[in-house]
Amino acid sequence: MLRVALPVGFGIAVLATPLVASGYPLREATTILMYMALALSWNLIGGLCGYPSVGNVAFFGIGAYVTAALVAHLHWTLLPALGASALAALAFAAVIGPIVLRLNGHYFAIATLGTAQALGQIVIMVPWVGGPNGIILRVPIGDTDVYYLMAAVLGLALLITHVILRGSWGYACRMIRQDEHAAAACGVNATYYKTACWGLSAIVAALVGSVYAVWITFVNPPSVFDPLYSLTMVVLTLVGGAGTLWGPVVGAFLVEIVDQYLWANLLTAHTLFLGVVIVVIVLFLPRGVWPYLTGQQGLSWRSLFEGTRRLRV
Amino acid sequence: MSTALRLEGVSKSFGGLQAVRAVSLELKAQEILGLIGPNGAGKTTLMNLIAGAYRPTAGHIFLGAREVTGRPPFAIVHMGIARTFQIVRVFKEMTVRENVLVGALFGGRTDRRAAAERADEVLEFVGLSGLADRTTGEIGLAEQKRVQLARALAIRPSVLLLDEAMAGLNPGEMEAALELVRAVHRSGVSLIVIEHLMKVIMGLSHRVVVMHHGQLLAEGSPADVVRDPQVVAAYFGEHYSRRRQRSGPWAHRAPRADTGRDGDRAP
Amino acid sequence: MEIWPQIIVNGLLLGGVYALSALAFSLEWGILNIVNLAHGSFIMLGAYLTWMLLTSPLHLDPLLSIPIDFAVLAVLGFLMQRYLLNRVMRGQFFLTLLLTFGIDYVLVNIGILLWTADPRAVITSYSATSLAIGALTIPYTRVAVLAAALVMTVALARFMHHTRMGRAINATGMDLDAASLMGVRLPIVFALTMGLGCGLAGVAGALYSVNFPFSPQIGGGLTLRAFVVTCLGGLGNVYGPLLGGLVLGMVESVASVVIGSGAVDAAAFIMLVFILALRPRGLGGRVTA
Repeated sequence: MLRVALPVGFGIAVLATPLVASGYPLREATTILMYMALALSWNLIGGLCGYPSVGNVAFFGIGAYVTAALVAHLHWTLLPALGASALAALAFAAVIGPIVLRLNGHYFAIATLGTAQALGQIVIMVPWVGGPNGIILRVPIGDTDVYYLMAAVLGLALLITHVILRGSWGYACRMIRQDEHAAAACGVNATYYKTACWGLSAIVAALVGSVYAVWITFVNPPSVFDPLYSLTMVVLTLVGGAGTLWGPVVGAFLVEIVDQYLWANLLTAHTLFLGVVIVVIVLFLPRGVWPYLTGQQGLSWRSLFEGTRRLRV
Repeated sequence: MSTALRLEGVSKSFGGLQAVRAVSLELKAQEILGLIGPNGAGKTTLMNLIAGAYRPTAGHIFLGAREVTGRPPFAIVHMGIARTFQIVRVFKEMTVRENVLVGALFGGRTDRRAAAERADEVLEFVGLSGLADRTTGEIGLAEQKRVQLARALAIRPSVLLLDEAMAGLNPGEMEAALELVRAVHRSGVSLIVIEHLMKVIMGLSHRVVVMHHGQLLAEGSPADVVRDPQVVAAYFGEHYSRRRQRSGPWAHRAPRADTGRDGDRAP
Repeated sequence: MEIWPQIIVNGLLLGGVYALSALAFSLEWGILNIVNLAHGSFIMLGAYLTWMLLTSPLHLDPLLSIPIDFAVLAVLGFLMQRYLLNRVMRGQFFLTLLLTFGIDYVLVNIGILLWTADPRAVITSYSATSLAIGALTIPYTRVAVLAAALVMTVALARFMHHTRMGRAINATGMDLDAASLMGVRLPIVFALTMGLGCGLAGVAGALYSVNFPFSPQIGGGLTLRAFVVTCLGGLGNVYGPLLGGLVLGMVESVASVVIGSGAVDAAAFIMLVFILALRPRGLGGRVTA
């Protein structure tokens, strides 16, 4: 029942929102959709394949910058700019991928973090894209259009994730995540699958970045290469349930709703909240909330404390 | 009899350490080859070389007529070599059936439906049909080893490498496992079996090769190999090798209950 | 041309800072397999503790507060490991990474709440003094850091190899289950190891406070550099951080003159990616299976 009701209900809710909301609430909703899509993009490489990238903001930033530059400096129209941004991110992923995907564990996480940071620093030094000042761009587009654009990107992310999970690709990813050597011993070409997920992750994040650029009309290194995005993507996915289709969506929704409330009332609590969320999730809900929602896991104090019992030393 | 697998002068060094030196051997079709040797002899390294987990620093490996040297592990699986791991590596979060299914799917390279059929077939063959829907992480070690074996079989290999498949099993489980290995062999698979337990090797292998310090020390029928003085020297030391030659007591170590003690009598 | 000797000296002294701050990080990673993303914030806490002791009625000299910094932060680290991190030690490494990250965020924010985000400094009578050799200026406080790095490294090496507790810690780093079978009580040893690491971070913080201005947010940069230093020097070797620290210090010193101070961060990152791509073992590390 959940299997059909959830996507349909979700789809309707998403599509109908602009009919009932406008102005600030609509922009909030757009932000939520944005984080859902970003979480899903991380999920592809981090949740499904178990390669926890902490540098996906690099793709987001590339998407934002390429779109901004093409629209503002070369006067491209929107859709071609989006396409070019996705391709640019894919190219970057293709270059970095072979280097970092060979690493495992902590090394991979920090290498991706380092790459994203380095990219952000390098962009500051490039005058053509505005250096530290960034780029201002203008596209004749309203709040509602931006919302639907973001929804389209989210839809694409969901579609990609769904297609992967349904087929043997999904199995391959799960095997890679659990035990890459054993997967290879079963005939799985791990390099192929994880690189493909890495590339798709880049494309989705870049498209989100592109829509972001068009929406906010201003990009600069600190805003679009902010490592906080990378972290947030990870946390949102973990809260919801990494490696599932709806986990990242649910996680993004929950965290962002609370976060929006906090922003409105307690400014400095934002990152503190994030930190506490992380600690709580890791200790008590290592699989996120999704198993509880699907009934795989019964909710009780005991289950929360026992969630990590196997992992204790 | 044709050759299933051939190694020519295979060597492997890790930095300064030479783990395998110029090993040449042949696995004949439909044969069970036992691979024994003291700890650190290089047996598992040799397995890893055949399976593609390591790349040889010298030498060639042939599966039938085709060369497999240096190919990535997944490609070697597709060509028909499957393996199990000494420390069992199953996908703990997947069910037993799924574990075997993915073997057929990715190793056997069939579509979903054929893979599912093959999985059920293999589960039946190894006797795990009852546990098919259990999460693999929750079943016992002996069953997990069987899952690992089933997964390897689902690939439909022509050559199967078993690395200490009997370790950690109690005598009852071991008997069942031995029967299973014989059944696998009867179905047409050639096997290389690494084992420490003499009873297993003696009772199972057609031929035995002995490794020591990365090199092949001896090769021949099980009975010949255990009498070989060099082999005895490698396992027990020179001292015992000389004594053994005089009284030839290995005859009593036929495949029967192994007391685990040296049945030595006074010289 | 004449500035090069100064650049080199600066590089070495900076390297001492990095080496000292990375020592604990490398210990935690090598033994516990924990990349402690909160490490920099523990250094920050050490700095603030020193500052508080100095500005309190006690007017405690920073160098005298070192033992107190060590003790307080060691206890903190012990508790963190015992009651938080131990719960996920057998899980995917990513869980511990994320947990330390969350703890880091919490520490930084508590720092902001307690002390505000304004930079502080620990000024003493000897803060600005330095040794002058020819055209070279060698600040005493920096030399103290380098000396501390050397002393701590050697002390740690002796502890790890010549004391019972040290060897127990070493053993758990090599083989968890074997150590447990030998009677080593894992939860306690882990907690003690982390305690030791955080205590060392506290010492680093005390010395840091005398040399640089600090705020609650310095943790991030320090942790990153600790990571680079550990990768450079190689894991599993007590002298690794010393080596890595000196190399990184030199690279940054040169980069800040040749390219500009803004490039220093980028240089560290790019170096990191290069090391990971080409020689993950680092310059002195052991081979991991």
